[in-house]
Amino acid sequence: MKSCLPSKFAVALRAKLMFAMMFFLVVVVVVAPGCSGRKKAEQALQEQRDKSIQEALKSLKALMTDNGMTVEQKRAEWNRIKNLNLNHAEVDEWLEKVDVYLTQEEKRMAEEKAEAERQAAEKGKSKKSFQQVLIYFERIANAPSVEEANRHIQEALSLFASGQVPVLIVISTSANGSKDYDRPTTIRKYLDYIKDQRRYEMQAELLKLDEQGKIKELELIKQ
Amino acid sequence: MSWRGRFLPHLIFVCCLPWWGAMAQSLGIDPNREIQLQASTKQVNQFFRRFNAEEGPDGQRWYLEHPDFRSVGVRKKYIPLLMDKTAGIADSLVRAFANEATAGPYFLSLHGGQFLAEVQAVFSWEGKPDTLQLFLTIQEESIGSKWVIVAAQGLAYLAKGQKDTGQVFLHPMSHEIEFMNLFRAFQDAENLHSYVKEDFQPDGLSVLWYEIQRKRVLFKSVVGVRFHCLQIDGWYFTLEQKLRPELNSGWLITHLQRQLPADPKPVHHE
Amino acid sequence: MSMSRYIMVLAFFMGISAALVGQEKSLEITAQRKRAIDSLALEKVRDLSRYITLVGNKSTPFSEAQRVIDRAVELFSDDAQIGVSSLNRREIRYFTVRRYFDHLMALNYEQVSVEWYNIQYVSDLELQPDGRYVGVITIFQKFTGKTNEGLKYEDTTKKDITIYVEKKQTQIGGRLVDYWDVWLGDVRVAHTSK
Repeated sequence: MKSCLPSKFAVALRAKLMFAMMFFLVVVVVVAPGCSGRKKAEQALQEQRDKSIQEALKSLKALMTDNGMTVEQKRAEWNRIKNLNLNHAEVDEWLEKVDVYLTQEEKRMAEEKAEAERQAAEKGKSKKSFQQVLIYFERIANAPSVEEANRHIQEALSLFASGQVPVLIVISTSANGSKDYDRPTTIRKYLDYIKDQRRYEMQAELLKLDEQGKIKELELIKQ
Repeated sequence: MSWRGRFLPHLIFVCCLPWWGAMAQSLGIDPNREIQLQASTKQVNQFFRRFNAEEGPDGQRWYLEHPDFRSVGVRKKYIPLLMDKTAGIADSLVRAFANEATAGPYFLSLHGGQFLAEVQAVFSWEGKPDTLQLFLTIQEESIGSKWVIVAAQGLAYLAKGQKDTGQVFLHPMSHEIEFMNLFRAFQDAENLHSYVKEDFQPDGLSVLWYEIQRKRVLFKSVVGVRFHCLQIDGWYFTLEQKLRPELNSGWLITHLQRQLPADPKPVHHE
Repeated sequence: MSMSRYIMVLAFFMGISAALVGQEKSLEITAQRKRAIDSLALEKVRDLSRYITLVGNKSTPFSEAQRVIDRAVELFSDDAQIGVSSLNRREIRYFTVRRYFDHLMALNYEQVSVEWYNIQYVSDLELQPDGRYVGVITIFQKFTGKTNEGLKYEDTTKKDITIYVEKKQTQIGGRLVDYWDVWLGDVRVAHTSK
């Protein structure tokens, strides 16, 4: 009976062998193919990075041109590229260049905005000054006596930085918008002129104020 | 607008512009006088514009775009109105002139040549006044143009000694005595003409030039101006200003004639 | 001088002048600009009229009259002359602008009025050799002066006023401004009727 029954030793050996074979199989089937796959994955990753760099460079260069984007949009794009952290020398170099450029542009925009706001405020003031000036012109032209006209002249002069403030008179405007002027005069002379001629036929065309809110230049056009 | 409707106002320049009268009245100015002044040809420049039909009956300047600019019909109406009615120029002559002047491209211009100004000017010659005629023409320059004096005539003392009496002369053997007898010629201002060639005419402008340089003559005043025009082929006319309170006033043609063939030889005084 | 002699003179000098005639100069001033300059020049002439009235009027204070004369003189070139002739006297009397105004002040009318006939003529502008343009504006004025005693003097004059036009440039508030300088020159005053 000894020969037909497997011994305990034989059973244990067979189990170990089975395990070894399965391990081998696992190694052969699962691990062995992993060596060439990693290479491919690394290659794909590199290609992806190169593409990103090329795109970033192209985009950065475009940011330096007038590509139709606003300065804010340009800055957002710059931030996006920076956040890609591409760690590429040329990209970094361009990021820096574009940053300098955008900083300048942002500064310019801020100045323009401030200027526009200032002009809007001045326009409000100018409009008021225009009206005041025209009222004086009318008073001087219609003054019943020389004394009264002279008094109005003195009052009118207080609106101006000085009696020497230049007065330009537009005699015609061409189709392309360029203006023809009469010989420039000063406000002092012009007010005297209204007094002598007892008429004014002008409209204020342009008026510039100084920091004190006094008129420093006046442009008139025929009504 | 019919032809007649368009041209009727030209018959007298502005008689049909009532607003002139209305404006004048508001200014306290005689409206009739104002109509006369409107009709009057106020400058030689306006004479040209009217002659050429470059101005409307209301005095507005016509430019190339205007339908009547230089129109033959308007010119034929305008030209007779530019005659001095007191000068006695025959109507038939005026008609012939108007027809011929409008038959070709004959337009008057300051720069057209053949336009001579004659100025009567008073000079003081050693304290005595003398009236001369100065003749001027327009000279084109590299920029613009200017009037220049081309001749002076009528110096009273140049007319002296212009008769060769036949009694005094340098005899034909004078050369043999080395012309020592010239002293006679130059002592005898009254008979100077006997000693110079037959057709000699002292040149007035040269004399005036010399006398002015020597400060022996002073300009006093202009007393009259007229123009001689040969710009219309085959015609000659003079232009003078007639200041008078009439429609027919201002710069007008005071003499008109068919141009005579020019005599190549200078003309003697009569 | 006979008419045929005139024609001779003409034929002789026209030969000279014809040789000198060049191409008619085309003005650089367009029709629209010419109209603007014409109206500017007419305005200067109107200003002058107003100054004449002010200076002639006895109620104008002396200091004001002096100032007005200064302004009137400014309208003219420095060497401008006013040449006056009358119906009886064809010779022209010459005045400087200042003398003409001084003379006007000395007339001492109680009341002076200078009325414009609503008629004026503005010539073409011609280019002169110094590059400036020159033209003549003709106006008619009725002058009325009344004395204290009620005596009235009236005359109507034709005034042919030279105008000069030149394009100039000046700096105003840091910018260059092109302007047309228009000023007056010699004035021929002829009496047309009493």
